[in-house]
Amino acid sequence: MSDETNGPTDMVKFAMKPSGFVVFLRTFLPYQVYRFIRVNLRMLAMIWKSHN
Amino acid sequence: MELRRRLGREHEVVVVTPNRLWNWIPSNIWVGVGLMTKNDVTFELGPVYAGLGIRYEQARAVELHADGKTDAPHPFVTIERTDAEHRGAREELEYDYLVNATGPKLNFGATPGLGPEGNTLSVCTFDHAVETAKKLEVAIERLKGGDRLTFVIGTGHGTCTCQGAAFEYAFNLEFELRKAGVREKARVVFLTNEAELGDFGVDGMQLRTSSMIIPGKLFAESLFAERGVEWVTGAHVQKVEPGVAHYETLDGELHTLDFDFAMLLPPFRGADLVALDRSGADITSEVFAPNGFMKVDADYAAKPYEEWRAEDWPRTYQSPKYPNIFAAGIAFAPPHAISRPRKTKNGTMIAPAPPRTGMPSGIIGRTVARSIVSMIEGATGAPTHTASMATMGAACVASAGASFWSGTAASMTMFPIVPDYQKYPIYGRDLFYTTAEIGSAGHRIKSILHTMFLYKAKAKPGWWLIPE
Repeated sequence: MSDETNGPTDMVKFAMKPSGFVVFLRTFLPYQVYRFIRVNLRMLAMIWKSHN
Repeated sequence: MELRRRLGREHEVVVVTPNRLWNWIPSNIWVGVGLMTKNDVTFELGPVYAGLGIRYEQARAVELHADGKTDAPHPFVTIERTDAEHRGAREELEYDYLVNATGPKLNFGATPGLGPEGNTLSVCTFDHAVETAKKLEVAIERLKGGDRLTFVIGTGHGTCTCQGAAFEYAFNLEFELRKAGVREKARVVFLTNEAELGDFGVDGMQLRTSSMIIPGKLFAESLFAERGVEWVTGAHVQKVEPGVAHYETLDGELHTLDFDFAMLLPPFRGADLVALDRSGADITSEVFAPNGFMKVDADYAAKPYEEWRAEDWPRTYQSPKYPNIFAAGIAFAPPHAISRPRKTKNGTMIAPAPPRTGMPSGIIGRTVARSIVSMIEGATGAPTHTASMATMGAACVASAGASFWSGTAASMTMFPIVPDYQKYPIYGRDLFYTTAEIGSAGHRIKSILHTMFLYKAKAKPGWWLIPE
């Protein structure tokens, strides 16, 4: 019995991590307004497909 | 609501629910970190049903008499009142058509020490979430006082579902710790029965990005790594003692994890509903699966993962034994899991159960209602509408921290929910509709969904225009 987890040491080393620019874009308002529209359109398309 | 909208007033629609309040459960995550109150996620059901012309019985169904009784052959359910005035009183309620939409029973008892009455917390109900928020507030005060604490968030059994809710709570908690300026003193561990992060009980997802197709595992792991949240995958929690969780991993090894704060979700099972025939003999096993969920038009023949097919999944949600009974949402028994089930060398099954909440539940409910309307109106004796989880998609917006400017959420879509490797070779899904991204746009969508679905549930003007 032991107290351990898979991370963060090893797992974090091998996990894909976003660049600083990508992290910045995640809360950059103009880009997120664009993503808001894109994501909503994609969801609506998927919902339409699911209902039909 | 859909039945009431489509049926003439000569038909009566009766809702039996043990709850006085309706709860928008997805936002319990925000109640659980103290950002919302109970009133923000609930409302009184009585006035809504009264306004719609729906008879509302505050009770739970305890017995299903689909053949009626010897002296009265009309089918009925025995209900047990839960309102303060008549608590425990039993009545018989006759029906022509029955929709079993009980949702799940939170099976905390499956793991010793699990749950608010044991040694862990929960956000499955608004009361649980309120209690969890209070404990989190105390923990944050301790961190501010200089203590170092371990927070364990995840699933409390090897067969849990709703990993998305655990994911949301872990990241909202982490976000709140950062907001409080105490993140560096906290160790946050995600303990999950998923074989790998991003499985979500749907066998994971492959995601098409602008440059390549990547496993959803990478997407999920990147978020955990970025936020410094540790993870343990493939874990079956065996028991929880005060401050320590005992769990077994897929390699069969036994581990312990000390914690100061643990929010672990329970596995689900069907509501405690017994089926009886006309003579009063117990026929529960003919109507319900061993896990308590209702058998419908699915293929329940046991078969290995490699032989699972999209056609195994139900389309009409009609009981094969009783054509006037349907099961919607979590209440129907899935034919098998979606994720590959795994067993440890000790024989412990670690298999995420398939998620059926949210969008699939809504679509199934609407489909069942429309079929019943067709059957009542005599168009056909069989259900006319279908909605298989192998031909419907799902949109999921998983909050990763709530704040107007800096809050983010993962916006995920998949089509179909159940992979269909005959139709979509290699990945099992249409990658045009299977996507995931994280950003503040997702948080704004999540906030809008909160408002929109509460509006819909309150049956405000045009509610039926809002899609599930």
